[in-house]
Amino acid sequence: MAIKERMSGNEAVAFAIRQVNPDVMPAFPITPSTEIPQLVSTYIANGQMDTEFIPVESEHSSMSATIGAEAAGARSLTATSSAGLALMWEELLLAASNRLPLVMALVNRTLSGPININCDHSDGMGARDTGWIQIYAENNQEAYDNFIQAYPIAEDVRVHLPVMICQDGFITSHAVENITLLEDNLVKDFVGEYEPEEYLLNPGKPIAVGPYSISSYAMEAKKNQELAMEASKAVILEVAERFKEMSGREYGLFEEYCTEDADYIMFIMGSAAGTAKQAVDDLREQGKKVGVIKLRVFRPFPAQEIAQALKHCKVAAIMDRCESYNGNGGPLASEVSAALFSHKVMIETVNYIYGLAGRDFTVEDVYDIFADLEAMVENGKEIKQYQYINLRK
Amino acid sequence: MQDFGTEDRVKFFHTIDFVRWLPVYGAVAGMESTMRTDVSKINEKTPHQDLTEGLMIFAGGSSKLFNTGEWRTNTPVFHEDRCKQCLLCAPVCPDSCIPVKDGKRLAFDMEHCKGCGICANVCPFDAIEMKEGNI
Repeated sequence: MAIKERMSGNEAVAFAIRQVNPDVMPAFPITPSTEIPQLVSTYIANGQMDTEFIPVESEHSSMSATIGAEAAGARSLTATSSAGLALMWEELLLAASNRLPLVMALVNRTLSGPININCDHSDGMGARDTGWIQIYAENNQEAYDNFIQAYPIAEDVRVHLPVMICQDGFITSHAVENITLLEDNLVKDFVGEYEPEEYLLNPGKPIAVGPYSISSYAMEAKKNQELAMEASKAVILEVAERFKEMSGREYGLFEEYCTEDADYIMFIMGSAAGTAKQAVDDLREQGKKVGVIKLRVFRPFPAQEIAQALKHCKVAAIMDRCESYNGNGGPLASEVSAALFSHKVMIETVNYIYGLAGRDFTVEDVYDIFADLEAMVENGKEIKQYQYINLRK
Repeated sequence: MQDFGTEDRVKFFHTIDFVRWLPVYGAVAGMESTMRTDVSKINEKTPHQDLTEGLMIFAGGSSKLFNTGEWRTNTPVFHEDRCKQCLLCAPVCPDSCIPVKDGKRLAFDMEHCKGCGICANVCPFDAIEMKEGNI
């Protein structure tokens, strides 16, 4: 029987960590992810987990230690946000290239500057080319469910890549909402034991991890890593299927909400998708044909599936909670536009930048955006690309 | 831990690593090993599909297989008749090129000696003479 509770996103992820009971967790505090290692430490102190918790001197060290522990043969994880993730940058690439199935709980907070502790996706997006699988949550339930699926995805022999489980800082991590938890034994059975084929602390079968490679081998190694990222898409769906059998909750690469007959679709990631869905409900009551696509799996980027899902609409609003400073728009805009073009789906799109550094994004904002898209199609109104929602000007 | 010498180095390239560990493999999990590849078979013509996962190397101490002795600037000559086997030289070698067996030092490992001369400097009996060049 499922357990009904009320928890913040951080509490939910810490609860999931307790249920998974991994071997090693090196961690360093940073708002708004601090509660995750804090709550895990409390569980350990209370004897509810036997994880080896390593309080390190910086996030560079926490990723370094996580990589070392995972390579040694221990199921390892860490948690961070914003500048903490940025400090780990050189090692994020190594976690992926060494093909280590470690996990990170990322609580999305804007990268400085200006210095700010509130939510946007610049931290996760800044790491989008590091070779990590990145899965985003809309709310605490998804953060919990995604975390439980993380190790089964990462440790699959076709994948062996690190997984980042993302949730919006403060909005999801700190807000207390209803949640349905799974029993400890169900989670334990779902995640299973970590049985690596090769690991450092293995007498009789010594290995070296992460050697130097001359140019004659590096490109081939990178291709193999790229193939694993491609293969992970199918594994993510398989694990979601198993998760559905266990929990009754269904997950895919993205969620399509009222999109079957939608003329106008909002393409969005994270907690603001919930805001968008509420607005869609309201607008649908007025007879407007609007819908939302909430992207869950950002890496690997499901280009073909997205192009197919957007194909039949007239205009799509691509919502970026992050700047990419390319002078053209945000990262989702770049990647969705590339997906549409390469699959010859020539719909109109408008890129909006919203919610930077915790700027509020409301249901009214969504109404306005859909009204804009409608005016574009029905009245030929010219909509400015790459707008900032709620910018004072 | 296995200590690789010159003979082992030659053997390594002709011995399939996994054969040596076959009894261990048989005992472990009873499953077919899919990852272990004979690294000695990997060269600059190997297609990407045949490289190991994450370029992992299935051996320990593999750096010994690389002949850094080619870089040597000066060469130590061992005058065995003067050596009193005091073993002051062995621990100070930065490249661990003075093997010790049964309490006695053996010949220099010329595959890795770089000719720094610390051993000659330390020897109280002039049993090590540094000659110029890579001899």
